[in-house]
Amino acid sequence: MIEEHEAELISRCRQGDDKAFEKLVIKYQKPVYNLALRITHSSMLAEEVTQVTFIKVFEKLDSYRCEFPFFSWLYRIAMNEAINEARRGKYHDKLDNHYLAAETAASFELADAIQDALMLLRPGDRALIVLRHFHQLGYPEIAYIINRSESHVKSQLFRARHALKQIFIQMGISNEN
Amino acid sequence: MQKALDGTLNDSEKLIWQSHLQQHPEAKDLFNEQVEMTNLLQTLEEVQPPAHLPSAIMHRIRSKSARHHSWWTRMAELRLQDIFSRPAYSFAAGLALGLLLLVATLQINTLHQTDNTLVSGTIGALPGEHHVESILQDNIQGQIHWITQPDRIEVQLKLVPNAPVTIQFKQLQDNMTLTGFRGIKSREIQDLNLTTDKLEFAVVKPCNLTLDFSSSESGPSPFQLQIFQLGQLCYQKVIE
Repeated sequence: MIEEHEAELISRCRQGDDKAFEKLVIKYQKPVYNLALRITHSSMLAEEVTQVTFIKVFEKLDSYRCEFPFFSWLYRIAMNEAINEARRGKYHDKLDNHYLAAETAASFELADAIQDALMLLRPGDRALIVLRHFHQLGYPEIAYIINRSESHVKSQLFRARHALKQIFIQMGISNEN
Repeated sequence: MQKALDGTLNDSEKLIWQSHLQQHPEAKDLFNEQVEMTNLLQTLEEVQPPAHLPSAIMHRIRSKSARHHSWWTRMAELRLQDIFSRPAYSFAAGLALGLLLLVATLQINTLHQTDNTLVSGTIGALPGEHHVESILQDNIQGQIHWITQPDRIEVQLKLVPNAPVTIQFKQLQDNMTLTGFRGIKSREIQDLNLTTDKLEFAVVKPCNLTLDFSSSESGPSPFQLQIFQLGQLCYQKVIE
């Protein structure tokens, strides 16, 4: 299930080779950071989530089972960390002000608006949208990451996109923006 | 609908799907809504993480590992049955214990003959040379406590800034390595930047940080601590 090179790196990490782990960090830091950033909408929190994720991965590497892709296992840890961080945060208060300001700002960027709309979804739904549409993961991988069935992933994604559409309507976002 | 959204319908399924959409306008609206959302979400672009992120991650991992593998931790993890399971170990442990008791007895006898002022300066003191200095500026208050040892310097920095400040540790000679950075919380510091001769970060809230610098050559060399607020230097200290 995992690339030979990656399997070798993981094996070396398990023997305490931190240089091998550094290679994994360099390879995956960008997707993990982006996943955390989309879920928390804070560069500072995304950085902390990324750091904590890799520390946990390093500490729990012995419990990783190679029949699952390494990135799925990594994403599962990152997603849980990011969701916990997002739940602890008080983003909604900040967003409400941002949203009101945005209503009057003609130059409001579309990407920012989409990200702000995403932040109005529940963290779990937001994570699903990010994994599917930003990281382009397949349903089996997402199902493993969130530890639910594929059919649950599909139906929840459908609901999340529908909820997002309602938020977009309220915020006046469309493809024409 | 899911297969249509994913683009995995075969030719016959496509025909059935098109016909279904024509007969059920509400399904068509729902489908178009899902397609629109999917297209909008594709417009989000990947963001480049901060350049220092991999080194910051490895720093924290190595610091944790170093603490975990310190001789003290390894001693604490040893089980007595491991030590006493072999006769040779048993004998060595007994001998060591005996010697320890002998040395302790001799030390107690010596202390009884020693001047009291000398005893009060020795007993209870931690190893290394300790220095404490208060930071009492209008805009930043705190304390810096550093311990100089033959091969390392440990710096404990407690700060209560009234506005964000930038802290910079700069090597005055090039033989010190940052080996530990403890007490960091995500909401306390930001903009961490580590180069071979300089460590810089911003503090936005009261913090209590501990930094370990190890010497790669003979003895620790001095470095300079500078604290800036709004680009203005407000505190400076040479740590040696």
